[in-house]
Amino acid sequence: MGSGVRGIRGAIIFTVVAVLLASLTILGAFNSLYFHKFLTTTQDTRLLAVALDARDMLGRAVALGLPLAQFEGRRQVIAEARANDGAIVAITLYEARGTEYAAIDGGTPLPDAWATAMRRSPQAEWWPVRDARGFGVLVPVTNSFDTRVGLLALLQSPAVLEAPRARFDGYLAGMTVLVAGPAALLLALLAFVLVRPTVARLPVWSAHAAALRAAAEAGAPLPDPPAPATTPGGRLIDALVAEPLALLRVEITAKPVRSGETGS
Amino acid sequence: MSLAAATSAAVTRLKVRVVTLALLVILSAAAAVSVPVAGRQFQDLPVELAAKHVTLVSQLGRDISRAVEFGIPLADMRGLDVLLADARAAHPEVGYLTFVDTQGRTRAGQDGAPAPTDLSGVPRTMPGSAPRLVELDAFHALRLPVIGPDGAVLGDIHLGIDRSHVVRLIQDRVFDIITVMVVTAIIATELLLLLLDSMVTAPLLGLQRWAEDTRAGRGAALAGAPGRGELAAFVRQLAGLSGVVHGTPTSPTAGVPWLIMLRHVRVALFVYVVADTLSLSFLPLFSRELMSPLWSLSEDVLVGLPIVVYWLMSAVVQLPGARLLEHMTHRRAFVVGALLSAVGAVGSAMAQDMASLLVARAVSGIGLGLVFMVCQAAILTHVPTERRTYGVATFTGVFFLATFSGTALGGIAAEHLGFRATFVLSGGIALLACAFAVLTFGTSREPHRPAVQAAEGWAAYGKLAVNPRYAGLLLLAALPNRMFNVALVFFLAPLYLDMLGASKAEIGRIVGVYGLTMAFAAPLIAAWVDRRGWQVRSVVIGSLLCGVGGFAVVPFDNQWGILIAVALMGLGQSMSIPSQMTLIPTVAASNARVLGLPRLYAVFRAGERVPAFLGPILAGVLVGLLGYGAAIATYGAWLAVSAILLAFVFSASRSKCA
Repeated sequence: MGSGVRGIRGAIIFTVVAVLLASLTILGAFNSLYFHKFLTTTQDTRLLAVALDARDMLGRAVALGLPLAQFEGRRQVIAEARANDGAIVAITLYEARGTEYAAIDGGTPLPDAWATAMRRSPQAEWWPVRDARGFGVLVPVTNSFDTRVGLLALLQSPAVLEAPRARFDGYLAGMTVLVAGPAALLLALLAFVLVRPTVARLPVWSAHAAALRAAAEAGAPLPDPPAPATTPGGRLIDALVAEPLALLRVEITAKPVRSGETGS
Repeated sequence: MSLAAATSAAVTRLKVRVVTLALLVILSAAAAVSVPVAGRQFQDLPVELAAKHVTLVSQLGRDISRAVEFGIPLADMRGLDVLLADARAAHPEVGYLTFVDTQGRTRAGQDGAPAPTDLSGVPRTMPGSAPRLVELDAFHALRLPVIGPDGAVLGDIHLGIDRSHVVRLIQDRVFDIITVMVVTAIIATELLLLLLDSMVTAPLLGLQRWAEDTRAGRGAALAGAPGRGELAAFVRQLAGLSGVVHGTPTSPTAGVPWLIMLRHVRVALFVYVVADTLSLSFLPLFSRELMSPLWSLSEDVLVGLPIVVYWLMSAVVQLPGARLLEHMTHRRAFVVGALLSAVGAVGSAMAQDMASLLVARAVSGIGLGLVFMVCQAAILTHVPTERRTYGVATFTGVFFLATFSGTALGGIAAEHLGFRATFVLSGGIALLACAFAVLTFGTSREPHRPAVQAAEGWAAYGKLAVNPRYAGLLLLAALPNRMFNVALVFFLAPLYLDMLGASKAEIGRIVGVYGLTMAFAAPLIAAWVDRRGWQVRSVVIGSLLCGVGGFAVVPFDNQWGILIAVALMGLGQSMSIPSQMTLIPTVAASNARVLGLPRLYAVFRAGERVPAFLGPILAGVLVGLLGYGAAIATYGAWLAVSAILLAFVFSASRSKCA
């Protein structure tokens, strides 16, 4: 293609290939996001089963109004939940103190982001939460008077997502590269072939116009027009400029131009 | 064939070929990636789902073991059936869930789908190890041992993940992927057409005009071609030669043909509407998140309030906006409108309560009203009178294409990025539309009119109100069409389809038919109407079609009836709306001389949009009295009667003029 791919052809080829690559990238990102969301939701549901099980045990223990902090068996419940699920990295039991919540062991307050999530959906049965340690679920603990006495937070390691996501993303990236390369080449080639007939004729007429101008300025014999084009695109360009150039040629012949008159 | 026709045909042929080729390769490549990736998901999803089921089965096993520890023999464990049935009910993807003792006898869990008769070949997944799934009949089968208090195996819990559940997950994804691919194709087409029009159509049209001028012996100026390509070099050579021959320097001028200006307006509007509609699918959900008591309004009213405020402001701004348009260029007015929308979007992202969200949506609504007004005005300024219906149809078509694209992308973005981030994205894209308008809109503007005195103004508006053809067009075509549109597409169809048992995806697809029909049919019909000058017939027949569509639910009281009504509304309004806009300068020519075209359009838009909010309310009353089908049919009857009356009004006016 050489220098011929600059200009219109280059711009069209660049644009169609860019659009192709952008489309495949968007599609890939969409697929990856979907799979990630599916994994997160599935793992959240898995963890939720553990959380609800532990929550029910705690709920039964405090059913008649025993404060959560005074329930000695809570550590065993938490330890059992941890033992049953190797992905869990943290379990925190929060106790209601007025409208606020604080961890029973350590007294740390409920993170602001979690409190905001609860405020936004106060009727929800559980809330998805995350912090630096991982992601997980926050479930309310209620007694038999239907009073919320605490919250139970279970966080699991992001590692449960990493391996399957890396496998899927690797496959997706491989497929995208495998398809994108040949498709980009094919598209570039076909775009070049399509556009070429229309623009290939232009340099011929450019050269003729330049030659006419040079001859007119030098008072030299005027060059003959180029031979007619053979392609439909070329014939269109011929139809556009051949006759007007012939008229200019007649004007040059009738009124020779002195070089001092030129302005460009 | 004339030179102009030949040039136009050749350019169209080139554009169609390049765009078709690009779309063919892009969509094929997308399919080539999507098919194996969907296959891969079909393998991976059950394995990931199984991780959840291992936990579920472990807990069930622990409960059985505890019961045995309390001294209940397995044979007497009557609650086991209930335990397993409850667990299965909580996880609809589980096809069967059963307990088989060490003797191979099924002890519980007989409800649900029948389990495969021979489960002995399913490998055991031991506690703490990765799930071992096998495909068995229509299930992905999983088996976990139940360990007794003494460490002995009491039996196995067998669980089967229904393969049709996984198929449904993939199918839902396929519709999403098709949506993404359609949106990609729409955006790719807009980009390619912009490029081809800028780099090929504009210079070729400039050349054609130069050729015609040269032939006619007129002073020939050349429209410049951008960049350093072959066409630019060619145009420079011709300009130089022309300067030499005529003795004066001639440099390429920057005149932009109307087709190119239409393309610029189209692209700016497309980008803007995509930005503006990103939040369309989730705004009620976002409103619900910010719900707080406000002015003693009920929850249902509050949720819809941001939408009402947004549309109301876009309608109310029309009249002052028309005055504003006389004092600034189209470019500046577009930038003001799009900037307001961007500010409103960012304000929505930052809103912490309902009041601040309402303010932000009101600002966005003002932006929308201004952008709409300026785009219509710019189209009417640049497009020749005989092609105005085509110009307005382009406006309508691109609006619906962009609405479809923006809504679909917004839903996906909100799902993965969150509501607030999607609002910020919306603001960013609105700024892109601003930048594009700054670069391409030029310096066109509406003619400035001396300020009209208040008394004169009211008199002029009074004359406009009693102009029978203008009033007829507004009250017998625009208003009923808009009210039926808002009532059917945004209210009756979704609720009725939901009542008929359609899924959310099906509702979305059926309602989406309206936008897609408008997007594709409006420009084609408009070109045909322009050629024949049949604007009045187009308005009347279009309204009649909408009316007939309303009656479709009488013989087809099901999803097909709604689909026909929605599709005929799309087709009918493709005929009616662009022609209404084109007719305004003709039917109110004398009023336009006093008030100016922008005010005529502003009154028209405000007159149809402000009462449009009554559409759903009236529909609700009709549904209460008559039911869904009859409510839709009643609206259809109103449209049909209005269309016939409009035909009489125009016919009587023509007779009077004659």
